[in-house]
Amino acid sequence: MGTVGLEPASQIVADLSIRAVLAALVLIIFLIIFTSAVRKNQSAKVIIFITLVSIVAVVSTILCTTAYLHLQDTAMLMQQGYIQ
Amino acid sequence: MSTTNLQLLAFLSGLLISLNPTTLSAFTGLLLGSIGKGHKKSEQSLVAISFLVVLFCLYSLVGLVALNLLNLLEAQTISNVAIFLAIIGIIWGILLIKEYYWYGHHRYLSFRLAHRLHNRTTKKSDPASAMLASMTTAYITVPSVGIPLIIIATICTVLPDPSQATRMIAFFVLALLLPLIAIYIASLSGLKLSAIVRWKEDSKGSFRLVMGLSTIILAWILLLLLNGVIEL
Repeated sequence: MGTVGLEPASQIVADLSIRAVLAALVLIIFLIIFTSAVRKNQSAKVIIFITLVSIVAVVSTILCTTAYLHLQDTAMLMQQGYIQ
Repeated sequence: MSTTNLQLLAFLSGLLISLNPTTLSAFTGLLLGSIGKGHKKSEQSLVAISFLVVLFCLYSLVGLVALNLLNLLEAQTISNVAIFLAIIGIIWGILLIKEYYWYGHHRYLSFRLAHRLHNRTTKKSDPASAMLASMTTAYITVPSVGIPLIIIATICTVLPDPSQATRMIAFFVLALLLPLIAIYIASLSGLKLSAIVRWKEDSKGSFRLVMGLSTIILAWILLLLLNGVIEL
């Protein structure tokens, strides 16, 4: 039986971040195109705007959290002398 | 990410953020005032160039001051400040996107100043007034232009070569002024400025949308740099 290789955590974080950003951009573009079709409908505009803000908030939270954790890890590794 | 890609990023983001209704209004108002007073082409050129040069100097100064202030901090502090600036950029981007859906449905912080600017650009059209109008425009556009400019300066702090940072800021500021330069050249060739004003009025919501999305994407690029996904 072969060994199971585990991806390094940083690689998983990188993949997650890139996929989140790309998916968000596609969804945002779709929402903006949809907005131009329902410009006169106030309720639809409110729903679309809230959805857009939610998407931006979720992706931004993911990116901020991963950035903060990465910086904490780098600082710890530098303190322990593993990297300079 | 190579140096060329970074400079392209700075230039493209500057171009997207350059479609700012405030700067377009101020500049076209100034030119219309100059034409209305019967100025010759050389006088109009002096007014336009005074406005553009002062705006270029002020935006570049903001970028370079932000860059130098950030470089004074320790590496760990820069990273924390960068995360904070990215969050500010994202919040501001969302506020700009709101304008696409409901334009002008809030109190402008500098409404009185904008009103005074409008009066000034339509009544007086000499180079000194153009420079003053430019300074006022730079002040009013501090959030819309200043926040992306500071994010670009923060991205520059992680560059290995400091001279690239100055070039990136220069590319960004130049791209900010390109539409104004294009409008000026087109007006010399016979383009009616009233058409530009009408286009600006019809599209100002879309301009704010593009500015908002560009600011958010810049903030995301900064965060991707910080979490090691994009490497320099």
